[in-house]
Amino acid sequence: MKTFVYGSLLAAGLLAGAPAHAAELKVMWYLGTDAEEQVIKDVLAAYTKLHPETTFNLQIVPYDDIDNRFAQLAAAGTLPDLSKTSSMRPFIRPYLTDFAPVFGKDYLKDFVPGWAAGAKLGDQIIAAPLQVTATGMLINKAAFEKAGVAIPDIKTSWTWDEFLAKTKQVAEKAGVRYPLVWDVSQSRWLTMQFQFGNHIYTEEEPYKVVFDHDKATAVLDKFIGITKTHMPPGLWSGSSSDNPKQLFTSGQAVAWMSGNWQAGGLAQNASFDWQAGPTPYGTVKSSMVGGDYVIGFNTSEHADEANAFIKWLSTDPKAQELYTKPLMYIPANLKVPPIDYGNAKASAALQAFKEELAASPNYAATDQANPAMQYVWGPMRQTLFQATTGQISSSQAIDQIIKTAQESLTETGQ
Amino acid sequence: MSSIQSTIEATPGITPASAGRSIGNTPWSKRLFPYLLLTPTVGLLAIFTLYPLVQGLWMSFFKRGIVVVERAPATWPKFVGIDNYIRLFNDPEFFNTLAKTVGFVVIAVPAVTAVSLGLALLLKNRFYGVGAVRAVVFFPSMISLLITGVVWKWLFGLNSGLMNYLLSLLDIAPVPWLDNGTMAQIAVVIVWVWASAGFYMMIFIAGLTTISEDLYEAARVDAASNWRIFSRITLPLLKPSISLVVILSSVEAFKVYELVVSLTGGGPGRSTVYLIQTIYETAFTKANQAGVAAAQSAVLFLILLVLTAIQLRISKEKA
Repeated sequence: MKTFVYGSLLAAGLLAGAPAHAAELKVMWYLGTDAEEQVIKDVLAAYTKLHPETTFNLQIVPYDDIDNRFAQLAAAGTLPDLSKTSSMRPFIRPYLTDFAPVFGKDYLKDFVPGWAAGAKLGDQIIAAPLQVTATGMLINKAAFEKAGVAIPDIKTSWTWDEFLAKTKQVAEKAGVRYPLVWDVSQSRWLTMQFQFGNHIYTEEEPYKVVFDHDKATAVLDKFIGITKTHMPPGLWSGSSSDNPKQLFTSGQAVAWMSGNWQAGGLAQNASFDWQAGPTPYGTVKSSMVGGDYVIGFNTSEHADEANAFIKWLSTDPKAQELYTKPLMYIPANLKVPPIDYGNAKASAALQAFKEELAASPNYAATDQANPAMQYVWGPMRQTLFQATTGQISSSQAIDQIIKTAQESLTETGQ
Repeated sequence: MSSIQSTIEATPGITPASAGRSIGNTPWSKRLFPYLLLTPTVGLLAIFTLYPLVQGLWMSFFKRGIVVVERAPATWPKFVGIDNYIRLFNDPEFFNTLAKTVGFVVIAVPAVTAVSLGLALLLKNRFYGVGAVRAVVFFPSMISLLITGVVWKWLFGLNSGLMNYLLSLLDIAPVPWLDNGTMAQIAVVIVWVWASAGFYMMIFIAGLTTISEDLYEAARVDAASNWRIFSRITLPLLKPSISLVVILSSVEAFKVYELVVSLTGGGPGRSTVYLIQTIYETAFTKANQAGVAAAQSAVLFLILLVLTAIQLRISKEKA
């Protein structure tokens, strides 16, 4: 009798405490920086505070191989309710929630245009833009001042030839070990192609390869020359142990080709005066638009709750600030008011990167957002290593990149 | 007449016929018992080795994605017969990688055999602290090859590596350990030998301890030189250990992957890209090429099968 009474009381208590439409959303998230784990936990907690009926089961996953993970989960029928991603490969598209009927067809108008374009699939909206990244040059301002060489402002900027001459001069006069370090990243290399008006795919459907062979070969030749005259020997051989981030942060390089995501680390660790940009140009001023999206899965049992959370995270200025401010990210939503990142240098750097993004051509975003690029990046990287080490000519390297880009279009059915 | 049969016939009261009946009358439960004991091992081998092997070979006759996704038709398997093999044998890049892998095996296996045998000869005798020295030599083989590669990458760094720093103290120009194709291939061999020699040394020490001391004493009484003792006694009697080490190390060398990825990343350029890295790249970084990767794996399987067959043949000859 006693047991029955206690059991009834417990059941009554549990029922009374349960919300009307309780949902625990399974969230899959990879980290851009170590700090992001706590930040996303804070974001989820803030949402639960606003909507106590929605709780979260957060799964932190490695970024590498995330697309194959999606495929495995889809095959096993265990996809989460929502996830962060940087691309929506064709095999996962049939499982994505179409946000157009839920958020409205004008939803994407509030976001950085190029990155928003990547979220569209015909009339569907298959992703919510979260944050954008900008590729560009970081400058050791202290070394320039020591050498007595002026840095132009972002709007005036400098050509590649002017920039290369000045960084060499600064390295010699200020006693800095290397004029330039460059992230060993094919994406950073492609940005230089953008700056000479060249890009891989057409900006709109029907997609085709428009990478100009001769123009691209000339830029690759120029790049190989820079690796020899300005960068640490062997940095782009594919086997170097040199770390551009460490070299620049320790003051051993005049400039660093990287991106806005480094601002937070530099604000904390660099012991010299630095700034973002101006990024040199060839015939066009261009950055590369990258970033992340949030996607919902149409296999979810809690699609309404997941959609509500995704809309809040991508459109509510407070949510955007909560996520991007501590991580020093650039919000993808253009309606978010300017964010004070709490550090003058980092705030100025992010503002500079935003300006360079705004001045970039549309293809600076569409190439990166094109799912066919996912099968181009890896072979492109290997080809570049072969070209920079002289195993193949620049012309052969560009031929291979064009061939891979064409094959990728066919394989991804575009 | 066999010895068993003669023993049976010599035993009073037991005829060969009655002995046969006693074997024939053994209950089924008793006769099945040994097979029952084997079941877990055979089961595990069937599930984790045989099934993936057959599945992998089957996969090589299809064009498909690495994971088949129900709503993505591009990933669905399409039977292509031997097209993946034809494609493979028409791909000069694959043969180039295969040749590099064979080259690595041909250099690395004799090197690791010689080094580990040398270490075993040095450390076979009992002396004060021999256990500690053996442990130190054995230690690298206990470290993950991935970690080994990362550590040696720091040591071999062109602009900020320890090796070149030490050379700079002696006014010697920096050596492009990992930034020149040939040097990088040599570096991979050096590090692989460093990481593996300790393990094979233990096999050789075990082999050396089975050689009777009497043989050595007799040779010394006959005033045989050290080289003669080594070439006429040690080496011939160590043949089973040598064949074991050569086969085991060859199989390991053909499968080298983690070490190379963390040490050179396959670079400079594609100088140190070997077979396993190519299989990985084909399966995971190219669209719907899992069948081609399976065909590449089948070629590797065939090579390893031949090596194992040779090992079994040698073992049988010894027996």
